[in-house]
Order: sequence, then C-alpha cells, then structure tokens
Amino acid sequence: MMQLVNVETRSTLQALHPEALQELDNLADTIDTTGLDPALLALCQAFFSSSLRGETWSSDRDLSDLESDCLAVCEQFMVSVSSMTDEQVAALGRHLSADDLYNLMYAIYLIEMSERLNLMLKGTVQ
Amino acid sequence: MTVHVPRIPTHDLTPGVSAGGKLESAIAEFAAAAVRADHVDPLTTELVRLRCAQYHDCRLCGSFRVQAALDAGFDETMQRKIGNYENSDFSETTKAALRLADSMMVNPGQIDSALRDRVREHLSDAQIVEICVDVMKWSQQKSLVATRIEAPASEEHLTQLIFNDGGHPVVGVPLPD
Repeated sequence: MMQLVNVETRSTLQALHPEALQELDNLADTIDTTGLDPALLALCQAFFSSSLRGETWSSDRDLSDLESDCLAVCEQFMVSVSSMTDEQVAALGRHLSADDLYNLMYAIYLIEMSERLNLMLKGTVQ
Repeated sequence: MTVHVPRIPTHDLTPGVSAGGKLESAIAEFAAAAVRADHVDPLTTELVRLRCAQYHDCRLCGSFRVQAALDAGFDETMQRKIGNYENSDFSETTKAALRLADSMMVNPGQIDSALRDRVREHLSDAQIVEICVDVMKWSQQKSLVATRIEAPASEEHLTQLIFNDGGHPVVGVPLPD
C-alpha cells in the first residue's frame, strides 16, 4: 500500500495544511488502483528517498530491464527533467503500454515530490 | 525555437484510463487544495509558480499568467527578474519564498541552519508549508515535460489563467503584449 508522506510530514500537514494531507492520502490510494506494479513503485520510492538525501543508491539485487530503464528515467526526472531524452522515455516505454507509461510518469512525479516535501518540512518547520 | 515531439502518442491514450483518468483527477484535486490555501499572497505565489516553470522548462506553465497576480500588480518586469532574483529589488519576503522553492527543486536534502533561519525570518510556518505544497503542485508538469506533452496554451501570446472558488483552473483570454 502506497504511502506518499512520512509520519512527520503527516503531522505537520495535519496541523497546517489538512486539505493537502487529505488529497495526498487520496492520491496514495489512487496510485494503488492504477494497476502499476507496486514493487516497481517501491523501487522508485527507495531510489528517491536515498538519492534526494545525497546518498548513493544501489540495489542489493540484479535489476530487470524494466527496473533499470525506470530508474534511469527517475534519475533524469530528479536531476533535470527538461534534459530527459527521447531515448530514455522510449526505453521505458518498450515495457509498458502508453496508458501505463502515462500513469507511471505521474506516479514518479508524486513519489519524487512527496520525498522532496518530506525533506523540506524536516529542514524548515519540524 | 526548440521543437518538441510528444514522447507518448496521445492517440494511444485511453480516455478515462490515463488521460482524464482517476490518477489525473486525484492530482487535480490535490492541486485545487493547494490553490485554495491563502496564507501566501497571490503575487508571491505567482513568482514561485513561474520559478518552477523556468526551472522545469515547462512551456505550458510559462505561457500562463494568473489573474489574481495580475490584479495584485504582477507585470512582466517581475517575470524577467525571477531568474536573477537574488540580485533583484524583490522584497526579502519574496526572496525567501523563491529560495525555499529553489531549495525544494534543487537540493531538498541539503537545507542548512542558515537557510532555515533566513526563510523563517520572513515566512511563518503556515506560509512555508503552503509554498512547499505549492511547489509540489506547480511541479506536476514535470510528468508532461518528461514526455513533452506540455505544449503552451498559445505560441503567440500569454494567456490568462483564472482559478475558480474551488481552486480549479479556467483558461481565460489572450493577454495583450
């Protein structure tokens, strides 16, 4: 089951922006209904959680081609989305339908920006 | 001008499954909740929105101007200052809001005590949270930039953007140059 924000962010939003928290919870529930692979999304979340803290992320197992292509897109998404290449998206798209690729891009956005939100609130108001 | 070709053929998308589907609708509701928050003034919110558009190279976001900000005195000279805001004549509160946005977009894991103090000197906790949620909302277009389906509302002119009482966007009229 997807969780977008951590316990500390949840508490901060509950106090200061409860409507946003409600919608983020709804988004997490909605991601679960898209049919996207939960294990792939968990991999994305682990990657962002580590990388956005400045740590070097590495997998403790061999990754499938889909996972490798997805993490390449995640890394580019995180570093500079405007420099994403046609080849990076095409490589990921080889494994997915257009609908799943479209939804996965939104899921990546939500997972990545939620992690950024966690870090920002920890660094400024918590 | 760079020509971008969509990386997902839009004719391959199933209405209601991906485009216009549940996830996109839920994102729209989150975005509306972000817009309804009102601890930050419309002018600062617009400058943060345009900073996000610049950083992510979102042609769609950059093609809009929010009417509430225009009503509050936004003009294009302000837009031109955003890229070099540290050396601009923006207020310290506006600069603090833009620093906060930059930090979230560039390096959220590296907030030091100096930045924390500078931001908190000018912004309340509620304003900091609202700006961070706004940056998340204004970064929604990252998905569209990644797939290059974020065509501007118009190639010829800026376009008015209005948010209704529910916080949902309504595309308005072309704006004069």
